[in-house]
Amino acid sequence: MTVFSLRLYVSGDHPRSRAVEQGLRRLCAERFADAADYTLEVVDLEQRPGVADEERIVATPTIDRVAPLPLVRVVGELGSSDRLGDALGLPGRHDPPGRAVVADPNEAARRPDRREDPS
Amino acid sequence: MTQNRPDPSLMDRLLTGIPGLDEITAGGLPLGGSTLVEGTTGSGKTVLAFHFLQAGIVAFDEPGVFVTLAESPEKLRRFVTEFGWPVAGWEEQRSFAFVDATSDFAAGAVMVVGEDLDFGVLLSRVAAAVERVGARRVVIDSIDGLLDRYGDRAGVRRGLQQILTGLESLGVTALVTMGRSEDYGPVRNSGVEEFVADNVVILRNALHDGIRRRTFEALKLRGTHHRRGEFPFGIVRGQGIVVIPIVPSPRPPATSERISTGNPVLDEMFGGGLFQDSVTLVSGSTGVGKTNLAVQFVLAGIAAGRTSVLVGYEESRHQLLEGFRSWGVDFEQLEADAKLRLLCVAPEAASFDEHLISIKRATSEVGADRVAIDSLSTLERYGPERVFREFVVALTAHVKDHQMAALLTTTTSALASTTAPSERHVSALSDAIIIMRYAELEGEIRRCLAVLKIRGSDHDKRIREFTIGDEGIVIGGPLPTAGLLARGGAPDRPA
Repeated sequence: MTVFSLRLYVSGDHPRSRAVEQGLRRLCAERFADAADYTLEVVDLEQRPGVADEERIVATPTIDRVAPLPLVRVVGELGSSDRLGDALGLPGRHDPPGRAVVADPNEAARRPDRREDPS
Repeated sequence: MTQNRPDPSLMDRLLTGIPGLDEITAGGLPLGGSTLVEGTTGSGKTVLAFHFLQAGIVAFDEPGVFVTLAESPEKLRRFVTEFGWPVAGWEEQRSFAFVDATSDFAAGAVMVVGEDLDFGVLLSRVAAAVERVGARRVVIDSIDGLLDRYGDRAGVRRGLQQILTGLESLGVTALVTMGRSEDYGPVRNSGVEEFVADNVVILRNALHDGIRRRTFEALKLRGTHHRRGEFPFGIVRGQGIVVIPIVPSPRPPATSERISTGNPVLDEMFGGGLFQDSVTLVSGSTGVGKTNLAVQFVLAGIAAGRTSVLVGYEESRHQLLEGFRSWGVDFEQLEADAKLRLLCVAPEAASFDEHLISIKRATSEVGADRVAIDSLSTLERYGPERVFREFVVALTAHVKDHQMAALLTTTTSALASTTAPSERHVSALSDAIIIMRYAELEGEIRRCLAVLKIRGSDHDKRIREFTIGDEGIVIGGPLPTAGLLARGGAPDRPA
């Protein structure tokens, strides 16, 4: 299957940064059957200030789904790990991998066919 | 000593260098604070913000950082070429930096925005850029960029507050732009005004009777006695923003009162002296006696029971007092009696705006009706010609507005035939012109002068020889042959 590549940007080693990181790790453990199916990199922008300029990061936390394309960027907290998982298009719940989900809770319900494509 | 230091009341202000703006704000923007610039789309907010940084770099050697939240740096660099601002050059010499905080995701990417955004990382990026170029000025253009992208919510507003408070701790003076939907309507309810409420200026581009008119209004500025109301401004190709600080009251009519130059023969040459509200240009070679003429002019005002200001950019106060000891005039006593103000300032000690402001202050403090400035050409070397020209225009406007008589000297090299920019600018604005030159006659160097023009009167067109005695200039008869006068280069004479 497609290998997911996720990157979490935080600023500073604060309890909040750690909570976001732990939440994301937990979510990944739930959604991916195999740890080889994804990579998760945590970047502390206070430690690597140049990265914020390069990646044009304006606010934290920011989570990028670098692969598969298209790039998905989640800025801020979405309130629940389900919403975050859906936003990042993680496997194992509502949506097949590779499909980006916009932050519209009604959209998934509107989709006519959510079964896996047999081909 | 003390006169070389900027006025303490201006210490907490930052002169922007934007033509006209510092006059209306009575000395610039609050130093170390943030000023909100509001305006509708196309009202000139971005130009003003960019000009603020440009003037800092060019006129004050103050580097700047432009935080762009809307247009890409690419687009902005192209946009300001219209004004002749070499952004890439500034970036290379590290006097300018962009912080690209435009859309923070690549094209084609999907963006999801949640809650509890922490904008500390943006602030860190700004701080790093400020440190990198040693910035004194920062622009954030525009706040709407953030509000549109992340939603106009309490959390985002808190983030803005975080950024603006952070700017203050960086010790920079900031301009922050924000849109409004109508020129005269209420502002966008973003809560931004609540925390930068101390300083708000509004740019308008309103339609009046089918004609669009751009105006600048300083709505409120902390701790200043800025001028109220709207002032017209232009967005000028090759220049940027030019605000016109028109006087609110109608100008008093020109007087026909004649006054003495301080030299009876020169008065005769002018057909009865100068006019009270007039600007006289004295163009002369180095050491020919321009300062003498300026001092005579100033003393003549005092002799007539009026007060005068003498501005010296070439000599220290001490040198000036020494030089005129032989005249038997106690300048210090005249100052103590509030009849005279000597303003001796090193030209490099202040910007043109600061010089203008100190001249205005000196003339209004003593209620002067004469001011002599010796010399403008010394001053001219310490800044861009464009800014100098604006200084001259504002200076002559000040003279006329207060019905003063001004005598401005400029130095012309006896060897070069080119005209100094100061002469070009001043001669067009002056009501009377005197030229003073050296002439070589019968194997001797002699001094001569001539009246080139006086508006509203006849004058002696002959070239007269003069000498400098113990009490100033003594004008003699016409020079027998006068072919050499032109060698010093006569100032451009407007038709």
